[in-house]
Amino acid sequence: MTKKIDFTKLFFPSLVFSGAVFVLGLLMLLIFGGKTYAEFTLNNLCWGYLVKTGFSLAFVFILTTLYFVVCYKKKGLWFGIFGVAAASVNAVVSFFLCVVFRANLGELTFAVILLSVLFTYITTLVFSFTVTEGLKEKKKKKTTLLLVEKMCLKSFRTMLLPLVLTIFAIIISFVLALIFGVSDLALYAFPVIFSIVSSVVTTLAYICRFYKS
Amino acid sequence: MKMLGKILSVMFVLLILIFSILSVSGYSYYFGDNKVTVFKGIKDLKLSEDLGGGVKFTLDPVTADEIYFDAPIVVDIIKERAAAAGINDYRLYVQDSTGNVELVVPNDTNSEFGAFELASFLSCIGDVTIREGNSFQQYAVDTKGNSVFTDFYDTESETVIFDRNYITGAKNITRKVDGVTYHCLDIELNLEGAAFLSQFTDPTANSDASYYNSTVSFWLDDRMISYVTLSEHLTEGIITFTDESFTAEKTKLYAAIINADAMLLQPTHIQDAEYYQIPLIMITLIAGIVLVALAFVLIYRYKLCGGIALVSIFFQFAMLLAFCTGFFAKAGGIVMDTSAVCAFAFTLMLTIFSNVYVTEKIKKDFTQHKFAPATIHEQFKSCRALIFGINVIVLLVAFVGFFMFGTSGLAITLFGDSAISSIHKFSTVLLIGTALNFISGYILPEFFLLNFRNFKFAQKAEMFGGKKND
Repeated sequence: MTKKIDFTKLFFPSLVFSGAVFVLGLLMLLIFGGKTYAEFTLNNLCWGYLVKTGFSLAFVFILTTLYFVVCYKKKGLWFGIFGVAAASVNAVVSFFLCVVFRANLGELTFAVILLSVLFTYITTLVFSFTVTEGLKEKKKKKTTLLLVEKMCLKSFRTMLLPLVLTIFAIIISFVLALIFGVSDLALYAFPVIFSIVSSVVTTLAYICRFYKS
Repeated sequence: MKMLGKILSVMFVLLILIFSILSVSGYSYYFGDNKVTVFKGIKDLKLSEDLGGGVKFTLDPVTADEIYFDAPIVVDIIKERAAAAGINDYRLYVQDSTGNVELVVPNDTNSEFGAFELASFLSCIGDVTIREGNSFQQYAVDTKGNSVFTDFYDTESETVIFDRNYITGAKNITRKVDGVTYHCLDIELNLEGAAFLSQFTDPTANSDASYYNSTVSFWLDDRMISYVTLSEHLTEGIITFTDESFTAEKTKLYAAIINADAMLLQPTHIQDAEYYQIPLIMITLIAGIVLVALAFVLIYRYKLCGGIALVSIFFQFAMLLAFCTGFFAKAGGIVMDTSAVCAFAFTLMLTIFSNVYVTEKIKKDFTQHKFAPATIHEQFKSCRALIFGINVIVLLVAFVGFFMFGTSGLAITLFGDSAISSIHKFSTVLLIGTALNFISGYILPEFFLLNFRNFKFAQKAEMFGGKKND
């Protein structure tokens, strides 16, 4: 199945998906309001939280980029910057996926966003590793689009395992949550599935497009 | 890597399996009527208010005298108290529809206080007084088995000597006398208060208002906390209280309440907090189904490597569970909420990924090339960078969340008392789980495979997922 996937062609669908989720989520947030716990309403999220969140994101982005630079030298800087951009987009998309699926905007929303960010970074890392290994195998110094496409496909195959495992666990949790009447938790199943799948696919699609341009 | 003997390798696997069973089941016995817990199991896992319920205190910002208080100020005061006392396990918010402040504390608190006691201390008015005499006689046992004064709300000691106008702050300190550690609370008075105290405790003064050799007690609202006999001349404006029931945690909380502002609000409504009421059977079912499916796939597809991967996954699960429960009777553990459960599952997935990634590589290599168990370490070498990198990246993200959203001193100094317990718990479990994954996803599989390849049954390609008779 994965042999047929061309990630370069997936760039625009990914972009449209992210944009659509963003617009739809924003509209739903404005029209229906956020279905949220009291502690996560804007009144309760004071400046301290927002500043703290901003600093946390900055720390995460700086530290991870540094790690990429340490591991992959000059190329690592690009991988790091790329990871930051993809993680930011995917974090916003996963938040709005929670809004679209009407999941409560509470502590589990943070978990969904963090999972999406982690999957994005893991995908970027798997790709960086695969490309470096690929270059070593082929004894080449420069990456070509063909090589990147191949490596994207290889990275996707590697990422299939954590994706399938996570989705499998979530589907079982979803079914059992419905059986045991914990519908509040069941509402998170689809945002998690969509956000982790889109994190992996869009990251690889952006990478392909980035190399093409 | 140093080679272990065959017997030692098998014993090591057995030890991991025994530890896994122990960390799930726990071990306790009865001594008379008392249950003595030696090792904690899954039943001893502390659950947060969203999973295990708790108490909810509602504070109406309009008092009986119709004086309105700004709800965010009340929230700030409670947060300040909790942060100074190092308490993370609570939820606090202003209900938009009513303007009420709501404080939720889980039934399983990770502290010496029960849920109700902790909530009542955090939401108390904070009216600190030092009064004449003491009114209690007996100790009793609270919900957590600690000794407390029986007569909380006695009004006998009505003569207030010092109130908040004189009290500037408090410090929790420990003192060692003859090898015994005492937890004390130093109440600090302002200059005016210090002058009065010096005057009251002067043994040479001959006045009616002398408290020299008299007993004074320390009160929080209408609750007497401790008492002391003033048997020396106190000139520095500090009164030290200590008590048998004082612990480091208690004195820290009392000091935190005294150092924060008073609220002039009392809880108007106390009820049980709503929670998901997830039955244990559901969690067991999820874990069971995933585990059985995983064991089947791993052993069917990778044979020996699959079995070793399973042992590593058991190790990760058992170690992380032991960390969450505390494992040893006196260790605290952490209070799990739904986001912490997510982090638990994610780190397990990470271990599965690390193990399967390596075993898949070994299988592929043995299918494509000649079967040679001696070259196993080559495959590990080629996978190390990726597994290590993933662990480091997740560790970095977890560390930032752990540091920034908890009650660490530096984070509070920089960003104020804005801890978010759910992110802190998620990050804590992620941090520990990923750190453990360096062992279970990185070191253990290689260690086992290198030792197990010496067994006779492991000399066949099919045992590594390769073709039969290769």
